Amino acid sequence: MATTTKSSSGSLRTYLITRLLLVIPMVWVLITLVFFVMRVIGDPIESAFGGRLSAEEIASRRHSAGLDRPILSQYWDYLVGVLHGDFGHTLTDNQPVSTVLITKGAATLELTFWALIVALAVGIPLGRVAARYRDRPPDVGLRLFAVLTYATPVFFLGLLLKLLFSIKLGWLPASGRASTNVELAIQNVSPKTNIFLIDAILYGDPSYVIDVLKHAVLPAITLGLLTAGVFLRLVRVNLLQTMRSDYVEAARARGVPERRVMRKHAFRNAMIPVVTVMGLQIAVLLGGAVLTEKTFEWQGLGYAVADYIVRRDYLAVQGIVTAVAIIVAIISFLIDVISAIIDPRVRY
Amino acid sequence: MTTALPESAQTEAVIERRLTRIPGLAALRATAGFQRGMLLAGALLVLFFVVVAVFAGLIAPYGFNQASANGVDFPTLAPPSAQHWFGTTVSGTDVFSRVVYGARTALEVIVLAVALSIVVGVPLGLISGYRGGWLDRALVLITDALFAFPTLLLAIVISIAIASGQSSATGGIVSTAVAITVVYVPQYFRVVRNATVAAREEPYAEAARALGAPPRVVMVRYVFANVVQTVPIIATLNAGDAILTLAGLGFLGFGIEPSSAAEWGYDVNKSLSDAAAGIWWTGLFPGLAIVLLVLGVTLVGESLNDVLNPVLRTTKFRKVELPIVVPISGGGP
Repeated sequence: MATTTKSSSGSLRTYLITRLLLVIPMVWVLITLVFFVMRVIGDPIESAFGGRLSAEEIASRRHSAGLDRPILSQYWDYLVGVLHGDFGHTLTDNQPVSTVLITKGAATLELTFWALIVALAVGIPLGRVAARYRDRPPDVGLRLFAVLTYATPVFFLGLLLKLLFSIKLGWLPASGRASTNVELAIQNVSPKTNIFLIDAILYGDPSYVIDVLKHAVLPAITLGLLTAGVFLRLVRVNLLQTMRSDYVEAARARGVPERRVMRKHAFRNAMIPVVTVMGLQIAVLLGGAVLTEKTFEWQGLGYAVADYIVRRDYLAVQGIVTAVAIIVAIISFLIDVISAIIDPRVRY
Repeated sequence: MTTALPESAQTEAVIERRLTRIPGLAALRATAGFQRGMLLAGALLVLFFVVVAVFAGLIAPYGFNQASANGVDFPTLAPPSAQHWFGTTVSGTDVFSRVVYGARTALEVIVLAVALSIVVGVPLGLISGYRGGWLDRALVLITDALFAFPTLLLAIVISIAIASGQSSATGGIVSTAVAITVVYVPQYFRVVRNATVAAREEPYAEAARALGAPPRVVMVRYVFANVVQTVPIIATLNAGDAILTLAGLGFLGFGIEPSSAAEWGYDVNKSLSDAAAGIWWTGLFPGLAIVLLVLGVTLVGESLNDVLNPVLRTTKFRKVELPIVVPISGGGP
């Protein structure tokens, strides 16, 4: 018994190390790719200020940003900077990209978190229903619903929800993360997390918490439904597969009622792939967050990227995109670690 | 082996074999019930949009950028009426005409992007999988990194790099298509590469090599045909995703200039500011067009996937004629 435990924990460690070693070249490839692709277009200072500043001023700014040095030495400095958490400076509002990441990133984190809750809360129960009524009308309807959630662009769903619930019915706010007075009030909370829900709770006024929650409802549903269909289909397929497996059959043979078989025996194992796919869905959610944030004027990273693009501040775009790439790589690593811990089969 | 079949069955078998050569029909014949309905509905939707795109000039009453007719300016933000079926935008253009021309833009970009992805991804996967070595490892690493990246952000980065300074209609369409291509090449590459690695050691490839065929011939004549079978499915499934990426780029104001072509995503973005005033027609129709086209393409892709994956296929019951077994006399215990 003791030897089995030892060897299995050893294989877990080997798996984790291998998986971690794979993250490093992947992140490096992405940083390199983004760096060089963003330089193909030419000089970032020229794109941001061309026509608005004199030639000397552009030259001096280029010098102070180190952009007049050979590209390879710039690349090396950027790489070293990123390793130290320094993603460069924005050009148009001259602040460290890392500051933008912390303030705006909190907003994106908040949105993505709510969206994931919506996706799981909608996808998993509906997936169970679809599996129970396999090939009967509820299943057919839910499968169409899954395709439809996939086919609807997030910004269009956001527009429809806005038109219905904020403009026609007036139930929920149409945009922003909080009402102006709330946003001003929670500015001075300490410690300030920039996650409005936490800030509002720290401020201590329940009506502010409700205001923040109300603002999150429509964006969360919009972004959450984007991946809810994926979870629905995944849970359905996995439940159907698990329901056919031998150990479930054994439970049935012992006379366990069908509902209990599904709930107690099949469901848990069917959930393992959901955890794995969650890692992939984080990338989808972050991509969708850009569009959702633009739709609802949610001041997060996606909104900031769209804004910097309009201002042609490509150093800011480069920094944010690089950071997002690293975040995605780390999250997918963590998700793989979690699925390796809960499912021993992954390690082999 | 088939000598026992009666003559009529033989001709039937021949007809059946001929019919299955038409790809769409074969897929349709293999389905039943709900799956057949999905495939048909999807195909009809796609066909509808292809017709709209091809005959956009005949269907649309006005140009996509036209804000007046016969010297009279169109009303701005007018609700749907007999003259403007889908209403007009804030700049006075006809929403119906913009939606119709948007189908043309979408199909041009998608066809170009899918064709480019196949042309780049399939040979790359074939060579990488067949040759192996450092080239294979490097390509796998790069495509894996690209694959893990949020598609929209990747498309944004690429289109910033190639679209800077371009604003003509063709330039916008080509550069957007290239951006989408970069996003989807990794998927073709992966599938073809993995299939090639498996096919490389198959007896028929081995036999070809033993006969002295050079690597190029083995790849092109033997391995290729066996690894491209899944490509049409990926292409259809990707096409739906690509339409969403195109719309997302347009929504963020990328690629195609609004005056040079109509783009649905861009129009939905512009309608956001109308929404506050309760104006729904400027966003609803282009948005619905995206949903319906993606729905059509996805339904076709999903059904093809189901059909070619026998585990998921729901076949209709067929009458099976069992061969007449002549019992061997005295057989059995």
